[in-house]
Amino acid sequence: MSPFKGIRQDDPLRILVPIGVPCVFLLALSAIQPIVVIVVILLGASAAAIAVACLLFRFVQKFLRENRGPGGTLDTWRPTTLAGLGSGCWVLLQWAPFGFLALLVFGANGLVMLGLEWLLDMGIGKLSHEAGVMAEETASHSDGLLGCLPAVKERLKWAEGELRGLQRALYNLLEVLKFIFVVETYVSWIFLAWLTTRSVLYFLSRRVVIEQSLAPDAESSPIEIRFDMEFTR
Amino acid sequence: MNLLMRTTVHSENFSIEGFEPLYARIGRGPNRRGNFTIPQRSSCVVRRLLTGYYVLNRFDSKSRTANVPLLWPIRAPDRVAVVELRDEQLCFRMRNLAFFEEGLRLSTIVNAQAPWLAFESPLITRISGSGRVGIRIDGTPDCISATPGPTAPHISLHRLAAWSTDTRFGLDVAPGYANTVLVAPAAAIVRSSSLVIAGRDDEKVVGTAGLAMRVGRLIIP
Repeated sequence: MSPFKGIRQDDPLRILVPIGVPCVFLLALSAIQPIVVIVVILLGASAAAIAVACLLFRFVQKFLRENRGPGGTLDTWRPTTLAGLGSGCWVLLQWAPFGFLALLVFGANGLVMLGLEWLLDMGIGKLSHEAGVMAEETASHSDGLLGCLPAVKERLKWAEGELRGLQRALYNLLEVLKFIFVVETYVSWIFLAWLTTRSVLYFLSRRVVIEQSLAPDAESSPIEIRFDMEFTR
Repeated sequence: MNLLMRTTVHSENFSIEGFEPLYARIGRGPNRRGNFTIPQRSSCVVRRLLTGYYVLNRFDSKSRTANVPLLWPIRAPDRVAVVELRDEQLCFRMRNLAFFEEGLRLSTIVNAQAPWLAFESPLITRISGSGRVGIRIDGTPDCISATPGPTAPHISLHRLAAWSTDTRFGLDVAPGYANTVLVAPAAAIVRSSSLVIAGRDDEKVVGTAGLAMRVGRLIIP
C-alpha cells in the first residue's frame, strides 16, 4: 500500500477537503451541543453549494479540455483549510441575500398555489352547500306554499340550476388557473436552479479573482480568457 | 488578409446589393415588406427568445424587381460594422447584432473560466462560416487587432460588442467588497486578437451600463 502523498493539484478534493473537514468536525460537535446544529446546517449548506459549484466547474472545464495551459480553473487558488472555509463562508454570505430574495420570489408561487386551493375548496364548498339548501327548501315547500305558486317554484328551480352552472364555471376557471400556476412553478424552479448555480459561481469566481489579485506577486490578471471552446451547441 | 482588414464601419446608409440573403431583427433594416422566418430554429434559442431575435426578417436583394438600390438604414449616432467572415468565427453580444447572411451559422459556446464568469455570462453567442455579419454599435466603434506585446489595449468589458474566437483577454479588475456586490465593470486587456469591436470610451455618445443592465446580464441565460 503506497503512502498517502497528499492531494493532487487537479483533484477536486483539494477544494472539498478544506471545507468538508471542518464541517464534519462541527457535525460531531453538534451531537454534544444541539445549538451547533444551526451552525452546522449553515456551514453544510455553504459547503454543499460550493462543492457542487466546484465539481460543476471541474466537469465543465474538463469537458471543454480547458485544463491544458495556465489558468482556466481554480488551479491558481490553493486555499488552506481555514482559508478555504473562510472563503466558503464569505461566498455564502455574499450570495445569501441574493439567494434568499430569489427563494422568496419563487417561493411566492407556493403561496399562490395554496391560496388558490383554499379558494377552490371554500368557494366550491359554499356554492354546493347553498345549492343543496336551496334544492332542499324547494322540495320541502313544494307541497305547501310553493304548490300554490308554480311560477315562484319555477324561478327557484331556475336559480338553483344557475347556481350549479356558476359553481361549475368557477371550478373550471380555478382549475385552469391552478394548472397555469403548476406549469409556471416548474418553469420557476428551472430558472431558480439556473439562478442559484449562476449566482454561486459568480460570487465564487469573483472571490477567486480577488484572491488572485490580492496575492503579493500577482499580476493584474494572470489568467488569459480564451474563446476557442470546443463544446458548442 | 486579417479580419480587421475585412471590417468596414458604416456611419451612413449603405447598399446591401450583392449581399447574400440576410436575416435581421424585425423592425430593422430596409423599409420594405416583411418576410418573417425562423432561421436555425435550435440555435441560441433562449438568448434569441429573450432578445427578440428568434423570428427574423429575411431580405433578399436578388429577388427584387425595383431598380432602386437596397439600402441598410443607419440612424445617428449608431454605426454598423460589417465583418466579412471567411470560414472564421466571431463571438458577439446578441443585442449588437444588426444582420447576418444566410450562409452563417449561429451557435453558443460555454466559457466557464473563473475570470470570465465573474463578469459575464458563461453562454456566449458565436457566428461562424463564410459570409457577412453586421454589428450595430452606439457611437463610433473601436476596431482593434492586437498581437502579444507590452502595449496591450484596454477596453471596458460592457462596451465589448464582438470579438474573434482567437482573442485572448486579460482582466483589469479592482478588488473589494463594494465592487463585488455592486457588480463593478472590469476592463479587458486585449492580449492578442484578430478583431475586437467595442464602443468607444466617449461618455457623450456611449452611456455606461447601469447596475440593472449588469445584473440582467448576470442572471439572463
